[in-house]
Amino acid sequence: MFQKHRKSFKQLIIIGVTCIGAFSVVFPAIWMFLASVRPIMETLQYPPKLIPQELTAEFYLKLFRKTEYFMYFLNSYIVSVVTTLLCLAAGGIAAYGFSRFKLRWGRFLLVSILALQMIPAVSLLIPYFRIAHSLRIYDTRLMLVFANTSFVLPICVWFLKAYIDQIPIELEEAALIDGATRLKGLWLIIFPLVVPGLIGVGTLAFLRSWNEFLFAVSFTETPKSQTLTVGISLFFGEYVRDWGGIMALTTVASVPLLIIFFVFQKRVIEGVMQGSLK
Amino acid sequence: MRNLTQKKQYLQGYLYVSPAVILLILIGIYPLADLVVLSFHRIRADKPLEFVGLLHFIYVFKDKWFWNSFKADLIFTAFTLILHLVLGMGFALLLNERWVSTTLRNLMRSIIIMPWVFSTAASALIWTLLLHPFGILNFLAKVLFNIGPIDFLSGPWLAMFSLVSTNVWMSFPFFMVLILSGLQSIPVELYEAARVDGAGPFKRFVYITIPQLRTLLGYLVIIDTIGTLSQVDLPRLLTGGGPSRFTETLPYHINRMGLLSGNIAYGAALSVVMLIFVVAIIGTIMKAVIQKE
Repeated sequence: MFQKHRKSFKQLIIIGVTCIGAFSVVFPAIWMFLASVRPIMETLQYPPKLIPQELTAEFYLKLFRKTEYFMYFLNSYIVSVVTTLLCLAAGGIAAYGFSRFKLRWGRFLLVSILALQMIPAVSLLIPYFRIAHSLRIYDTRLMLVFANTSFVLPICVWFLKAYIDQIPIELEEAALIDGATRLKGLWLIIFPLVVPGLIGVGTLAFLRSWNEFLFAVSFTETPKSQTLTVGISLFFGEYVRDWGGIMALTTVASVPLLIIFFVFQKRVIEGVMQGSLK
Repeated sequence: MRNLTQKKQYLQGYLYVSPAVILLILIGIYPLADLVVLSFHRIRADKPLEFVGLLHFIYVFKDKWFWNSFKADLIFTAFTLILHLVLGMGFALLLNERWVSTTLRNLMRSIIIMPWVFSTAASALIWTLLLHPFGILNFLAKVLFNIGPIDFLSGPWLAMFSLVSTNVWMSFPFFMVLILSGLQSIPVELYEAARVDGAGPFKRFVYITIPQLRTLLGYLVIIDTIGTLSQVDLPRLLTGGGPSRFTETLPYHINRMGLLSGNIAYGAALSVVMLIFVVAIIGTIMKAVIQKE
């Protein structure tokens, strides 16, 4: 009897503490959303009121009127999608190569690719800046894809290699015996099995690319190529702060990620766990 | 490589690996080489690169603002790392326990991971609002501790506190997810045996949990240290280097001195110094972790 009470008491503490913790963690995001639907005066009033008195859609409506915001969204989307696809493709087949073949410099090449993400972004800023100008791709989305690859490619190679390592080689051997070429075996057998891994790493890659700030702000100058993160950061320079407007922009910038992340969450966590525990 | 089939296999392997390697050269090796070369030169108004040897490097080591940013970076990273470990471990332990309802637990887990989704710009923005003189944190400070409205970005240590808090909020989920997965791979029998031997929860934690997680924690410490040391975004956006450049961490210092001020060659030299620093840190931590084995 006493044991039962102890167990439920323990449960209560665990659930209680976790809930409080979770609420504290989520609160800043909730506050952000609230600030995007309340009039500025209400958001900034002191003492702050948790329950909104008045709701307004004015900031979201304003978003639609400013064409720059639309461009930011489009650019973020294009850059992230292209970077992710490029890195999944190049990284995926490289992962296959590293996993299934014993290459003489295999170890060295693999470590080099992984080391790429350890390089501080600041250190790459200046060389990339020079490259951007000399190739005349400064202020283009292409440049951002190029720059983002530096940290997206390594994670793709790493996680996908760990994933492919886990697929038993007998499957391909069986296909080869049946007369299929290695490439056919790759496509028909390996690829379907790697799909969950691709989704997991792909989501992570997309997320990191979408949220990237430093390269985006350093290599762009006009809404032609500026991304959402740059748009949000412009807020910090201004004197007159449109809190409502910027919160609306931030919410819009974050919502796609939230949705994608929650849908593919399981795969992402699986991928991260698998890749890191190697 | 004796026979033809082996050689063919070999070449095939390289073929698969080649696109990634080409990218590696284009976005990694070539730029780094360019960086190093640039750091030994100076760019003058009359175009050509002028070789100046170690000029920039000597200046770097004599510059008090360089050392200031170095110190700021270390402080920032140390506090962030500690909080990452504490929060990550804390939440992971809570989520690792057996819950009455697994759906509730998974829901909690999803909620706690959420800050991961926000960009540095978004996080800086959200926290600027929270830290506002009329904001929630000030309100709590008044209600709980009866302190007047604080400008969280006005004092050096206050600004550092704000910076660290925002950074930890934004990035601790990564820690938590990995620690949780590590916890879940610890065999339950170890705990059972310890419980039979009469070890309390604290002893079980110190003598079983920590040693089992040792490699994972080592890996996390390396990744996190380098990541935090290299961060430009938050100091740049949230505090702008803080009052009197107290929160001007090394990467932000490099960004300011290099690209933002147009002095590219000097920035290159600073970048090289930072690179060496990062490599040294990796080496030191790896040695410490390996020696413990």
